[in-house]
Amino acid sequence: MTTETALIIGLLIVVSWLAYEYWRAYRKLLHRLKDNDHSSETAHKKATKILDEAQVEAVKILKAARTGAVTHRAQLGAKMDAALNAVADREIKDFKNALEMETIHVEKAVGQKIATRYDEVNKEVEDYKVKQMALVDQKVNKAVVQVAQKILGKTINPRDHQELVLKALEEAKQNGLFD
Amino acid sequence: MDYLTKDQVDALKQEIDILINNKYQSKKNESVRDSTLQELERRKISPENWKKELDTLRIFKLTLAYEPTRINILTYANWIKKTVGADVILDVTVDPKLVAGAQIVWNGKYQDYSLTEIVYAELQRLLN
Repeated sequence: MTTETALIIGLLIVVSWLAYEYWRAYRKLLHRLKDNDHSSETAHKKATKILDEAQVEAVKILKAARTGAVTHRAQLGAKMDAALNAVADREIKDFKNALEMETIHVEKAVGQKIATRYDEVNKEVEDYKVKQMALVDQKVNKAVVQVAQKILGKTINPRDHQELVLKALEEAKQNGLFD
Repeated sequence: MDYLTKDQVDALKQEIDILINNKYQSKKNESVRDSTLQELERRKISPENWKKELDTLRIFKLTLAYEPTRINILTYANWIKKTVGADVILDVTVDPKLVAGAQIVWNGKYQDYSLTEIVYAELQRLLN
């Protein structure tokens, strides 16, 4: 055996080994590709499934959210209505109270004014009455006195008059009027 | 002639004034009484002097509650002449409000001896 033969053989061996390794690598690659394909499909399926589930779940959540929103809105509306009603009631009540208070105040003030004015007018009337009564009394008294004086003056006869005049003159004399 | 009241003296003064004004007329004036002419003759004084004499008479004011009779006036005048003086004449006025008695004004002094106040007070007491 020559070197060349040995080299050829060796070369053949190497080539065979390389071919084997190549074939094995090729097989491995194919297998890997096959695996990859399978994994990809599985992943795709999984992804699709996840997406579907996610979509269903999302729909569920959306439905629930919508339902919750409707319910919440209804509850909120009811709460707002209740709150608004409460506020409105309170406002109305406050206004009513204020109005009542104001009405009472005004009534009281007007009543007080009327009472004061009534007292004033009453006093004026009483004063006027007293004044007029006094005037009437005065006039009546004066008239009575005048009538009485006239009657008395005429009732006394000239002789009695003379006696009273002489008595007056004597009294004046005693009082020193002629001294 | 005895002078009793101021009215008499005033009337006499008016007659004397006529006599003074008609001194030089021979015709008798109807407004002068015979008694006045006789008194002037009796006194033997001029009308002017007689008037001056009358002006010296003092006036005694007497307010009465009634219209006095001539007898009443004579009575008061005599009383006054006897008590106060012969040269005093009476000036009488009437005020029915006095009721009775008299108010006297003499020598600038006033005295009320009427029954006005007494009667008025009594009437007031009865009315009240």
